[in-house]
Amino acid sequence: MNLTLVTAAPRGARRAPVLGNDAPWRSGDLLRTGALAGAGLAGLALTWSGAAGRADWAAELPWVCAGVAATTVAVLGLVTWLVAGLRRVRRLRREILPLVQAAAAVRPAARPAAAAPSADGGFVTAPGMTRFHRPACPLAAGKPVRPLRPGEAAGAGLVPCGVCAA
Amino acid sequence: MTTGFSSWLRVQWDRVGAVGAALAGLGALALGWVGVSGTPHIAEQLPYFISGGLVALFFLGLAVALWLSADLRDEWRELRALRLILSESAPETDRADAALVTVAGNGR
Repeated sequence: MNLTLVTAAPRGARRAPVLGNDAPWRSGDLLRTGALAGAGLAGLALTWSGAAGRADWAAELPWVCAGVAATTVAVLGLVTWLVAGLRRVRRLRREILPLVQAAAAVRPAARPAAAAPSADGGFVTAPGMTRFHRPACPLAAGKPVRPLRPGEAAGAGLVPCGVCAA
Repeated sequence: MTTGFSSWLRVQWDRVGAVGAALAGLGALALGWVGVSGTPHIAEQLPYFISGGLVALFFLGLAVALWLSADLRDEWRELRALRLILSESAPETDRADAALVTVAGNGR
């Protein structure tokens, strides 16, 4: 499938989002990760300060152990960020799977009707669609498509299908 | 050329940040090694272990997290675009797909 437009960097593009619909994270994830990573970094600074002020290595060891614990907390914050994103991506993938299966399970007998010649560059569309397709497009197969009339795409605001790259 | 590069930097800020964090981690590791190797006293070496070794560990972990989160974000956007295409091409299932969009948009 042609999805290059999704990840390409257009001219004058904005910064890639961290939160919202274009990213799998929510504000709670950012807060949790920031809190854990910030606490870990603060702990590291504190333990370094505590260890650096002593002349006896035996007295420094507890600070070193606390530093390891602080690093663990900070890295744990990063891990929670990744786990939250991974879980939402997997959930979205599970939601899309039935749609893909439905598109792939179109009856083969319906394909010749969809492949009928059309008047406007060989494209077709159907009522309710916001895109136009090539007649052989699997997403148009089985639908009550009709040939696209000349100039209809621009007039009706139809855009090319991203699957058949019309 | 400069505009294109700055646009790329804005879009790929997390991958650029990952490279920066990895370099910072390697730098902290090198500085820690220099500090530790410069003194024979354990009491003087341990603070370098914290400021060099542990801080480097955090920055290297941050680099990995940033890079992987950029991959996750790209995959999320591709999946959402795919779902949009599929739902627009299947008008009879629009209502169900709109519900799915709402669910994923809200997360959880």
